[in-house]
Amino acid sequence: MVELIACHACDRLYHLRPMDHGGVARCTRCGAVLYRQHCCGMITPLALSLATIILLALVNLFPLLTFKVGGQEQSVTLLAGVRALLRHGMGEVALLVLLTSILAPLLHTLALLHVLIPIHLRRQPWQGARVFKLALLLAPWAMLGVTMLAIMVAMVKLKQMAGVVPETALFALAALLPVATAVDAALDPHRVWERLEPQP
Amino acid sequence: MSATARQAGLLNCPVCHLLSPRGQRLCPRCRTALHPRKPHSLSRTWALLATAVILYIPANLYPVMTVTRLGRGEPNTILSGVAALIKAGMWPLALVVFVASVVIPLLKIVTLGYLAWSVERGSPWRPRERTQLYRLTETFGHWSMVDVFLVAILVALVDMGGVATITPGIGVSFFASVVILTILAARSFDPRLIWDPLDHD
Repeated sequence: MVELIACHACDRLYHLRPMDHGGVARCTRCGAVLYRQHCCGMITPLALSLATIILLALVNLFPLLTFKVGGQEQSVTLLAGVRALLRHGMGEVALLVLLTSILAPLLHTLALLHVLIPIHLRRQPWQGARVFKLALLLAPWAMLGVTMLAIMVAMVKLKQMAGVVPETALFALAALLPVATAVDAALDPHRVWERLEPQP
Repeated sequence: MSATARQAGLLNCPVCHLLSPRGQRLCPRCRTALHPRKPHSLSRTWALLATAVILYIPANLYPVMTVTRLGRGEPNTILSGVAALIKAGMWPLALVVFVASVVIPLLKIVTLGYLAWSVERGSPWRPRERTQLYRLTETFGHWSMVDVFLVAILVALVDMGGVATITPGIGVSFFASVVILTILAARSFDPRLIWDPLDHD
């Protein structure tokens, strides 16, 4: 069974063949990506995930923007956005923002580290298959790129009213986006699954 | 070798892509429930899409936020927010917001509706292009969330009593629901259904 792969978009079966580094195998009839030959083993996604977690800490702990009007100043963090929505009785929207801009990126990265560090040390992670599955399921709900765009729109909108100053977390977020993309590119889920013991 | 996993009697795990023989209920590697196709794919897609269409109306009619400056309140809908950006001469940004919050949700609803309808009829027409269309709806769907994040940031940032305050409006709840419903609709649609009529002869 191991040497076969089915296209997730059209169900066609293929034999899995090793390719050159950076090679991409596409389904011949629907064009979906079947498999990528990744360059760098486990150490690169691991290193990039560590960078991600540090940047995520900065993004969440420091203010994103400071708004100045009439001698008053106000700074916000990501979490302040969630709290503000909650305060105005928008619980469900607050929950959605919490999940997509804070929890999903954080838990996704922590779950990856939980799996990648032991694998790199040639050990079995605790509940590895379950935690890696969680990481894969959370990935589409992490929307920091969209958050960044929203912050930029907010800055431009507020420029009309008064001064807006970008703060530490915004620079950290700008640095984080390419790193997070690099994690996706470097991580080979297929190889991780091969190294994980099946869930009992 | 048989052409498809289903014809070979194999189930493709949606999470880890391990192939298992038919009859297996859970993926032996990651414990995900296995099905030859996503269960009730079309009816779920239709139900989620219909709900999204209904909520799309209040999402655009009700203000997503109210900007109060020096005691004067000004409600903002999604479209009036775009209009304000254009009036301020920031048309590139207006275009980005317009595409993310108006064009993408609408296109997504129309595209998924078309795909579900074409599968319902068993259409053999251009399956490759229809699959690519599906992939697009999956890839760009989450950019519509930009308005929701925008409201969250502005409400937190602009809270200075009488001088300037921004409060969220009920429109943002409806709009967030539309975005989530279209994301869920895209995920419940199974693109393999596009190919099934071609594989069954």
